[in-house]
Amino acid sequence: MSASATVARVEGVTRTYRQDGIAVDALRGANLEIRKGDFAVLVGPSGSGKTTLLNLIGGLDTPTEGRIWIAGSELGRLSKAELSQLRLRKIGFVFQEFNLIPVLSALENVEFVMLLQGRSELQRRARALTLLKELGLEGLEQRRPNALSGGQQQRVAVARAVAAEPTIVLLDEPTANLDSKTGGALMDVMRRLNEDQGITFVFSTHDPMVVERARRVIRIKDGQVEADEAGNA
Amino acid sequence: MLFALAWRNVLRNRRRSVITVASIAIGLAAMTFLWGFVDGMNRQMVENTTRFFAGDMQIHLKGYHDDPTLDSTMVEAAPVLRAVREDAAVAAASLRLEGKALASSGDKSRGVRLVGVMPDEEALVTTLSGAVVQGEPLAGAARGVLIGEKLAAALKVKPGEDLVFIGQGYDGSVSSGRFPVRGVYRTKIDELDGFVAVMPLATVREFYAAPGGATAIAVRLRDRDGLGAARAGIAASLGQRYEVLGWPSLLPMVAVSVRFHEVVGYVVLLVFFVVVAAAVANPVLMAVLERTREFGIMLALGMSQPRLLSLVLLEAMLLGLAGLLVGNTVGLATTAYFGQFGIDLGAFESGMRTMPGLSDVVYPVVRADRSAMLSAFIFVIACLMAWYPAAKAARLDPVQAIRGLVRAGKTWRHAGPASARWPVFMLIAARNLLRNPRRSLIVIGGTASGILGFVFMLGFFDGFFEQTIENSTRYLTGHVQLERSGFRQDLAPELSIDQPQMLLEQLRRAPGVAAAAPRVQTQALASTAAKSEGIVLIGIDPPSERGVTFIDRTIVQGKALAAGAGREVMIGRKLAEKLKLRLGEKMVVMAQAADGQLGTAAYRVSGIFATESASFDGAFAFVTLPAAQRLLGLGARVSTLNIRLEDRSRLVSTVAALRASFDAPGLVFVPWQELLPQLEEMVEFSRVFANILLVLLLLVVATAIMNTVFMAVAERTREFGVMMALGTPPAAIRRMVVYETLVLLVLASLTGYGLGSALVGYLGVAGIDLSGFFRDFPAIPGITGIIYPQLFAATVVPPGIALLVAGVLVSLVPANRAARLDPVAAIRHV
Repeated sequence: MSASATVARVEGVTRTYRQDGIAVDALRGANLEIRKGDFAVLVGPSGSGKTTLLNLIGGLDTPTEGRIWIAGSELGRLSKAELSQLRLRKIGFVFQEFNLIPVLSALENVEFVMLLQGRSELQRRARALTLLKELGLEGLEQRRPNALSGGQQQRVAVARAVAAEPTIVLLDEPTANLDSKTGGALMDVMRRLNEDQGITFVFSTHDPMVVERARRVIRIKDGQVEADEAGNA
Repeated sequence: MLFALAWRNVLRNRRRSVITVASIAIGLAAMTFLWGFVDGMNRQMVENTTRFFAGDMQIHLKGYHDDPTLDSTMVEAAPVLRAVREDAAVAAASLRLEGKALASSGDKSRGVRLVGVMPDEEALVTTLSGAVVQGEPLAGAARGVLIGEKLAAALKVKPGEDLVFIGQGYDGSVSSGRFPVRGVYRTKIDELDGFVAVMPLATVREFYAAPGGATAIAVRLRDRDGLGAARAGIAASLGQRYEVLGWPSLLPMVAVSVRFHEVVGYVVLLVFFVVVAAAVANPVLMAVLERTREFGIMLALGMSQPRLLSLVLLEAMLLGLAGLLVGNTVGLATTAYFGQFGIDLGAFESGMRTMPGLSDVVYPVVRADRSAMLSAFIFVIACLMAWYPAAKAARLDPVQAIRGLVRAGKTWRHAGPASARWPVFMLIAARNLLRNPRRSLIVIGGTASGILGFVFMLGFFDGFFEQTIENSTRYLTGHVQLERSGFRQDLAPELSIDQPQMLLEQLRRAPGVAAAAPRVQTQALASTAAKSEGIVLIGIDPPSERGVTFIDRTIVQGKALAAGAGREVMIGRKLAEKLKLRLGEKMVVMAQAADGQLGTAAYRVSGIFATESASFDGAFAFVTLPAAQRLLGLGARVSTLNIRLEDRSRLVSTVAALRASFDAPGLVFVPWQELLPQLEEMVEFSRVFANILLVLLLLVVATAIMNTVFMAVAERTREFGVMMALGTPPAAIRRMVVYETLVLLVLASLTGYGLGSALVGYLGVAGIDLSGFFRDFPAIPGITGIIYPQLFAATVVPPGIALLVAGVLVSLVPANRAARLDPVAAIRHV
């Protein structure tokens, strides 16, 4: 596999947490490679290590053992500030709870990351408006999160995640708080972004509807990658 | 069950609980310490002044206190002493014989109180012998006299040298005697150090020809706080022939100082109550408000409204009790520590020097009743603050509460998009304040109360100082006095100013001088057919005098002195009472003239004045300048030239200019601070006190700000986690928290200063009437019962800036915490 095709590589990663003095292994020597253009899901029972793996790939957490590369950079060698920059430039996040910034409008939430990147107002405004339109949020740009439905909020979160043109977008149970119709529509939007713009998406999910729409299914069990297979889509 | 639930809730969110408990504890600790400090200062003043010489109580023949002469001597004092000692409240009692005498050494002489004591017994009651700094204390019947260091300086004597005393004996004969100075004491109390001479009782009895007699029994009580009851008990057992006086009557200056501290203490405590209430209200209210969703779930699970209300209140009570425990521990421990080791205010020695009885080191006092009262107050505040949101929580619609719609519905909306000119984090910070307007209002309200508190407090002090200085200088001294060096020590007539007219004209032309007036000042004896009293006689030129002082405006009977009224005198109301003088009646004045001869003159009382000060009204008499010059044989010479400046705040530079431009050998310009040292020192001391209060107040407000920001950060942990996950640098998070604090502080400052200025402005016109507190207390001239606060930018602006800087600095603590959050844990934070 060529380096240009690999956006993330996980090599022998173990993550051990201590809970009340007892060591709990969330991941045990996991290995994984995410390729450019992947539309992959991590599936597995609760506690299997899906979210931990996403957090590690996203540079939010550090492994107890093993190494992780994102876009050619080994995360273990980066300082906190460099990790912060990496997240800003290369990684997009979507959370189960939407987690929009409550005091900013939908438009401002999408612009937020681009603003941190230092893009001009003109550039970020144009891109944010385009993305919101593509995601079916035209006319809702000035609304605050509390004036949007759950589905609308999650679409804003997706727009925010892709706005900065990251190498990879990580989504932790993005449809868990949505009804199946809204969740399906959201997945369709992301699939379109994946196909049209080549954005790499990695989901963690329990939702069969998400699994159905994936092109790659990675099964996690007991902190290890049990299977890595092509999806139905 | 409910209690267990409340307890677990308190433990569950430890940070919130710690913040709430800390807010309560710091407020309580600060107030405990403050009250302890005021109590300590008062106790020390009373302790020192009573223990040095006055005692807690004295017993005399009735009428002696108002007219202390040997005529009121208890001829056989031993049975009275025995009866007093038998009283259970009395720890020790000792006999004294006290009379007036003239003490002389070489060509120096001064009127003194000559007191005979039994040294061994006196040592059980008072501690003057412990204050001896040169020579030795009295012992048994050993011959010798103990004098204060100021008297020693005035008479230029040292231990071992002789003093001659002349006085009038009990039988009316003139008595005199020569006694060696045995020791010199220093109490830092002018009345003692300058005017009291102590000898063995037997010697004084012999001197006054009063064997077996005593004028006073000085008493030390087992418990000074039980003075009222002890006094009543002893008065009842001794009967109508005797007067039993407590220290407040014996030491009126101390009593008024204590009362003054108490009144100022109450005003300050009131300000603190408001600030502490706001500081406690903040976290308690926020702790309840941020749990809307949780309460919705409880209601949905079937908890009844009254039970939910009880639960929230129980939590507030638990937090309140924990706060009381910590606050009392910290407050009492701090107070007790300083109570043991003292707070050294020696750096402000000029301000402390002659506050009666106050030494450089103040020892705060722990008092159970104060702690109980403060604890009850804080506890009630905490519970009341929890009541309102708890009652609201109990009435929540569960579904809306769980969805968080309750808060969403109240959010203030911002219609427009982000302006490109605003940094985004400033924008987020500003909108965050509008996001939870209730919380922001609580924070702004709390901080503004603090600012309002200190603006009012400083306005109160400044107004009081200004008023007192202005009044005092306008009763008597003016702002500056030109005198011959050494004149004030004894008001000696020979130390006079030649060619005053030329100097006056020169002075009146000097820049910065509003008016100048010539004066003759001397010590004199005023007599009527009934009595004699030592007075200070002032000769004034009425037209000039009106430009400098306003004594003519304090006339309550008759009329003010007019130019040319050479046979008239204007006296104080108290002096009129003492001499039993009425308008139109004659008063004979005797004084030592400049040539050493005795000058005598008779004046008719044309006016009686009354100021707020009984001691002033009891000691001064005014005649015309030519009349006084004739009495003292001064010719055209005067004692002093008194000056009023156009602007008192420029006193230092104006006096410096006067000193530079006047070539008058032997003459000195004396500013009011030296003319009225007690006033200057009271003002200085009060400023020190105000600064201590200010520091405490700023500490409470800054802590409240930090607690609030901590709570706001804790509430938004998840939000910060998400921002960090999105790549927001920690520095930007820190900046955002600081921006929020800054916006809050600016709004609070505008509110606090606005309301504070309005309040001070209103009270500056309407006045604060505290005269009820000062009733029956003679005061130094100028202290008024009605205080008109005033604002001075130089006083109130620096604390505001200090608070702003302190607020931003303390917000860095929670801001750094937010910036160091672990994003994963933060996003998971519930």
